[in-house]
Amino acid sequence: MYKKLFIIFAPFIMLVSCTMMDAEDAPVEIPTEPLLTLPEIDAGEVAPLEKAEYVEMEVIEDDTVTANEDGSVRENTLYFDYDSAEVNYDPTDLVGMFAKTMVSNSDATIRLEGHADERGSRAYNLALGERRAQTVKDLMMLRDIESDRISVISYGEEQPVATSHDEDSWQQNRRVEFILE
Amino acid sequence: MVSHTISWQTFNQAIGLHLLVAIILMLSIGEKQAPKIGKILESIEADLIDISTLTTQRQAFLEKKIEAENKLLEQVRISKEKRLVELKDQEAVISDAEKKQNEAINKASKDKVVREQKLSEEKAKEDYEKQLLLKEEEQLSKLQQQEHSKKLSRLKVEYKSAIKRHIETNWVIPQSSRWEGSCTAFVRQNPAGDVTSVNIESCDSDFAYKKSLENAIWKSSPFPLAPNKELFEREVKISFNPEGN
Amino acid sequence: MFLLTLTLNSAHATLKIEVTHGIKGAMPIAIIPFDIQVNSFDENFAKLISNDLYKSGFFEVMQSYNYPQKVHYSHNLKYKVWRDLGIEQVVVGRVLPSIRSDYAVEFELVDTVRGKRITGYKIPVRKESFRKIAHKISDIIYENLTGIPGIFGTRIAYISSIKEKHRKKFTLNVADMDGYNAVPVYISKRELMSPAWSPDGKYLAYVSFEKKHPQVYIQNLAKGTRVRAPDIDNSTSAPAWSPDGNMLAVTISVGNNLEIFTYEIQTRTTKRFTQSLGIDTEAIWSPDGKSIIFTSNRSGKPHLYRKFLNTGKTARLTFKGVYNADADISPDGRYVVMTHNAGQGFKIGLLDTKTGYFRVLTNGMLDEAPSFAPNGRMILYATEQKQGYGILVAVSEDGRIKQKLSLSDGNVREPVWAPYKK
Repeated sequence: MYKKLFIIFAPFIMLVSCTMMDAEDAPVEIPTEPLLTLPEIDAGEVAPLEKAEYVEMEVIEDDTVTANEDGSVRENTLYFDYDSAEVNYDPTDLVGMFAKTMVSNSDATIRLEGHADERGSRAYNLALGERRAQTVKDLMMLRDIESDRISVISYGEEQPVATSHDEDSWQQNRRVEFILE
Repeated sequence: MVSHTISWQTFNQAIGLHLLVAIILMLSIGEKQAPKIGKILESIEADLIDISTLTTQRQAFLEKKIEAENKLLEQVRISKEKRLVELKDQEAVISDAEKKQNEAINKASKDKVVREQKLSEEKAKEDYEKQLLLKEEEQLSKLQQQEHSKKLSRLKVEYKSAIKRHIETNWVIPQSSRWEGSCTAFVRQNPAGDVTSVNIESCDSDFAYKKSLENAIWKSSPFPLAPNKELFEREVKISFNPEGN
Repeated sequence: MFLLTLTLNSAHATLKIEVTHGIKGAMPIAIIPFDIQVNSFDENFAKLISNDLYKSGFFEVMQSYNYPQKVHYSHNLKYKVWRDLGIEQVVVGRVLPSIRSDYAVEFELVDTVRGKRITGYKIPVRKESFRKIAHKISDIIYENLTGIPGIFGTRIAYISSIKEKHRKKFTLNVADMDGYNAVPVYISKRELMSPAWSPDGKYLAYVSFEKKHPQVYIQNLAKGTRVRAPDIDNSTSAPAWSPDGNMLAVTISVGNNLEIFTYEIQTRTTKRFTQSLGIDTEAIWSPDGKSIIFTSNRSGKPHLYRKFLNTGKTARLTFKGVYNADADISPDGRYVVMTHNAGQGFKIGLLDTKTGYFRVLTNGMLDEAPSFAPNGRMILYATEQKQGYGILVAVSEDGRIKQKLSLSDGNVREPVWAPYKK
């Protein structure tokens, strides 16, 4: 029986053993193919520093940073719910107050600065801050303040008044500030 | 009949008779009696020479001779009869023997027939039993074949399983690669289990994934040996279907 | 007879096997410390290459203290020894003195499974370029083993800020993708936002608050010159380049609304692209130039939408979670990565637009600003450290391997991965 098998398989075995040559640990010849060559790589391609506009750190005007030290509600700030641009809380009627002031000072202009908390995407927060400020502008226009006297600007999440990563800070940052000019 | 006168005729007749007797004696009795007869003949001849001189002597002598001749003749006749009887006996014996032989032959042939009959009966019986045996053997071999097939199937499952597990322990799936669906590798092995070629086909996954399949197979060479030579296949088709993600 | 029949049959039959499990991992590779034959050279090529390859998520790099051999030429490798350890490829190398340059680096990438060398290179080097060379070697190894172009020699841009009481400084930086060799490209006392690389890698568009409200500028990196784009006083933000580099998509504040416009740079013409009552912003072009994906809260919550330029047809892309914004799209156009929130904090989400399959890649609480690598297999994003400042993290596309970038700057954010140099 084995003899029969051997006869059948012998030619196969002979064939296969010829193809088995580089399977295992056959001594590897030193590669005669040369290594490929890369051209020399030169240093960076970014603009050297002197071309960029370099500005010394300086004191920033106060009016852009308007938080109370103790974090209490500011008289010129309206606060918003998360991801919302609706004015839901105006307990002291800031809109009314500032509208009145502007009516009585006809050459006064007002800047409404909208902000958002740090969560989520910056560009979206920029838009959110702008929506919030825009909403307040709409409310003021309802009080007969002309549109061109009200400028709207958003800083998104870029100018927080509180920086702990919790709802406390976040709530303080979701705001629109009234800046009379 | 003996006559009293002796003539030449009678003389010649007597000689002739003597010769005749001698010949008959010699012929019928054989060599044993031959010398005796010869002597007699000589004496007879001697007597005959004296015949012309002796007439009464001759006559008496002739009578004596004739008696002697008659005695001889009687002897011959007796011996002849004896011989005949002997021969007859012999014949009887022979025929008896022959008879016996024939009887034996008949008996033998009769026996042979009986034996042959017996033999053919036995043969028929044997054949029948052989048939029975053959049938049993057939059934047995069928059962054996079934058992063998079952055993082969079981072994085949084990064989395939051994190869599968072997490859699975050698397959590092690069998780950063993108794989989609199933991929198939066509592999050739020699009876020692050494992999001789690997071809990935119908595979929508990326290069890194395909490479991992090839590596898994090459690292698994040699494959586990077939537990039974009948189970060995040169071509192996391996489909890769990782479960879950 | 039976045997003969069987033998005849086996000539045509095939053994069918189904493999259903493997070891989930990465390609096992070893990088043997190079042989340094140059005096006063202490750079560790092997370590840098290992780090690159590990970070990509494709490779599992074996620790060098486990190496059975410390050889430097492929013909000295005993393949079986490495194979028995499960290592499928090995890198050997040497640093040699050279006449024409400071030194030359030679390396070989070897396949231990098949027992042969895959490739080998000889690279003339100047000393300062050590990291570049190592990244180049990583690229070559990566490409040979994955079939994907490497990204180890690419660059990124990001914003860093320093804030002390009433002093602020914002910087737009360009650095290597590992965070090294950062170069400031623009420095301002006012906020900078939303950097975006032009498709040829020669310009950066970004938002600057130097005029007190957000404005988009395009800066030529080689010259340092800038133009305002579009040149209007409205608040503009979220610039994105078209694949041919001729247009920007920008968000412009018009009237009391924010809408997306397309701006043709050469002709300086704008064309309105979106029209809705809610917020539409953060446009990004598909690589085939036929559609723009953007964030809109028209459904009540921010989600991603795709609008086709020719038909104007708009389709919503994201349905999972309550917040999906700030999308980036892979170079093959198939995958979209975004900032995502399903109630468990802000994480990076990945959407397969072909299958609709969505997966969360990260597990931070304030992850944001994802950006695809130019080979589509890694993602850069920003997150907050516990100490309160922002860091950048590179994550493999399947979310498995995360590596924080070493940056010397303090508070970093908004990373964008540069495209391949053309």
